[in-house]
Amino acid sequence: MAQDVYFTSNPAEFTQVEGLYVVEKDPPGFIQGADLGATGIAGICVRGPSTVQWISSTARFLEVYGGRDRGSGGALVGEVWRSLLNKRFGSLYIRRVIATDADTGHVHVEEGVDGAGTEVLKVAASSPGDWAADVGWKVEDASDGDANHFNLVVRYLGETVTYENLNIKTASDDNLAEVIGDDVANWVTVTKLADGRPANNSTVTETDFVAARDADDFVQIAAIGAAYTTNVGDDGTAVSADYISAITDLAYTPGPYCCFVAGASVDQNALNGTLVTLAPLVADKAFLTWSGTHGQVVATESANKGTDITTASGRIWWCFNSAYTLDPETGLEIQVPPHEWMAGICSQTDVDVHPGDRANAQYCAGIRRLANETLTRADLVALRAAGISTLEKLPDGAFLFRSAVVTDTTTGKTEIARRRSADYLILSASDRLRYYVKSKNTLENRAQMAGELVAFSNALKDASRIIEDFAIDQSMNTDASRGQGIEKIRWDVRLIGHMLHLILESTIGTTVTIEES
Amino acid sequence: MAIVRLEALKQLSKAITCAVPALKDRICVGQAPSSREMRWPSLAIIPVRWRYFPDQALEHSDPAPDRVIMNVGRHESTIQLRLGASTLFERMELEQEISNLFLETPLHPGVLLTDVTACPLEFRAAWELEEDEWRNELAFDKAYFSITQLTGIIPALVTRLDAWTIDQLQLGVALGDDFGSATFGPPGVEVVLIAEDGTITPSP
Repeated sequence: MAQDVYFTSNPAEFTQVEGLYVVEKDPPGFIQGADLGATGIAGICVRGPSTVQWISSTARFLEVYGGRDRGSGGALVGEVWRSLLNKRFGSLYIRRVIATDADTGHVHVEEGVDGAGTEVLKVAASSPGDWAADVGWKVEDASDGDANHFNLVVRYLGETVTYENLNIKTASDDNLAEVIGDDVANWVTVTKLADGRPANNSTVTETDFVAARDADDFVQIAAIGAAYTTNVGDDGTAVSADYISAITDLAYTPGPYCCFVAGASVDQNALNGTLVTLAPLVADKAFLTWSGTHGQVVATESANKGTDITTASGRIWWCFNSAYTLDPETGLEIQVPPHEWMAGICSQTDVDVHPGDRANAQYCAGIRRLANETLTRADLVALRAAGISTLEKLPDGAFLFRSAVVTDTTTGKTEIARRRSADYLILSASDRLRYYVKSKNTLENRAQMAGELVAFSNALKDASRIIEDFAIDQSMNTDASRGQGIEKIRWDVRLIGHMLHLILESTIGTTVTIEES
Repeated sequence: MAIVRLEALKQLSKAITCAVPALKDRICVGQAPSSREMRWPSLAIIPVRWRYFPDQALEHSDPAPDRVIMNVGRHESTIQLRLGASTLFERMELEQEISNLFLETPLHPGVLLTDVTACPLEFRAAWELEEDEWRNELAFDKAYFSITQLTGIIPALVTRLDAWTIDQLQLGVALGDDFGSATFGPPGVEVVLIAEDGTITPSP
């Protein structure tokens, strides 16, 4: 039966048959401010997928990527975890760096109890890495009492998850995906290999299995000997290309603005070379980097920057002066690179706020000391001139970036705040103007685009944010260029400047004449 | 776009012809020329006044890659139907048939809707019967004609030429004091290409 009310926006439909036609028209559009607070981090993690994931909380990060180490202390594994340490961040886009030769641990669970039965179930760690050895599993009776069903209990770092009433008994049975799901935070992926019902761990008699089984009937992945098909998880050895592919993935992922590699690549020169390649190819990112070596002297750092950044860019921000911060799990100081602090500041501040604003010292409160706390004025001048942002200890003990500059030292383009403001304007406008792509180039649409830019600019100007003055120009378009489907809009913006050099001029003496105004 | 109004009137003529077969080939849109031989019965559709009510311009359709039809409001027209017949009885029959055409419209009796598809555009015109009365027009002492009045509502459609599709939208942002410069590109102007999905890439 046909509807009485027909929702359409196609005028041709109106005349097809009598009836009530409801046309929902888009309200007049407007430009809203883009979010440049999201940060992209590539780096080594304990576990987690190799695809870019959006992470909105610390808890989510820990459940997807793990923490400092494999859970038992020892050597720090999670470089991304370390980069977040004692800093504030907004939302994150994480790209785990996984070695090309990394491997995923798994085990094939059998129907029989003697190690010679049919393999019916594959239990694998959800991502590659050594961490698979920490995952225990057991098959036990199903909660629903059905002998053909089973529960799979997975244990990791002392916590357990039970997947109840799994059923792969016959050809038409497979509820694994339905019960277990595919969340990237899952510890395991479970796949049906054949019809059947895997044997309960407690009933297995195979010798190696029995030896590996603990008092709670759990066995670790890949710990049950040659009678079973198993694979040991392996972190492999990350090489330069692994870091490069990770930062490249981030570069082409919409969302994050400040992107960096946590810690350093195994080949920081090659990584920085990649940033030089990527910078002119993207228009919505800033890449934060450093020399990759803690505690260098100013001259060496400047030389490294000059060697690595062969083409300076407003989108490459080189930071200097490593910091020491407290590892909360060991209580020891660890040395961390400076660019991660800059990313933290930028994630917490408005785009027109200078990262070196005194108020931003709060975001560096996690710093206990710097590798170089005796920088001279000449050092700071040299570093700024080289396009290097330097963490500095202030006389009152606070830590702050004195200069916040991009690697492009062209006059007028050096400030990070300028780059961020420009990107904020471009990203905000483009997110709205995209609706005009593939639309008709009518006078009305052109006026509407300009009108939306004017309204957005005026809103910022009236709020004394970012824009001091502006102009919109479309006069460079010609009939010929419009005939080719091209429309250009020029947006001239005079930014609100920052007081970078505050000069207090004083004349103090007994002979000074005071003029009253 | 006068063709819109003309096509709408032609469509009204067709609608009346369909409803009143006796008027086939006997309907004249506008005042008949003086040379035209008078035949009975006959009906003249005579617009006596056009008014234009502007509205916000909206895209109606895009019939060609380089043009777009805009709806810029509506025309309202006062229209006289001037009916002639050889006998009073015949005329009264025709009057009733024409009136019925308007009154039979479901949901909104008295308003005839006609779909215009003959011209490059497709649109709908509305014809509202203003009065149910046919007034006799006297010729000397004989009443040959009777007249009633309609209000026609026709969308005001205009063509915008050179309205090509925007395939490539370039936004150039110039930060500084160099307002009013005609250049569009580096180093003064940072240009990005805006894609439909909102992604932006630096303009080569």
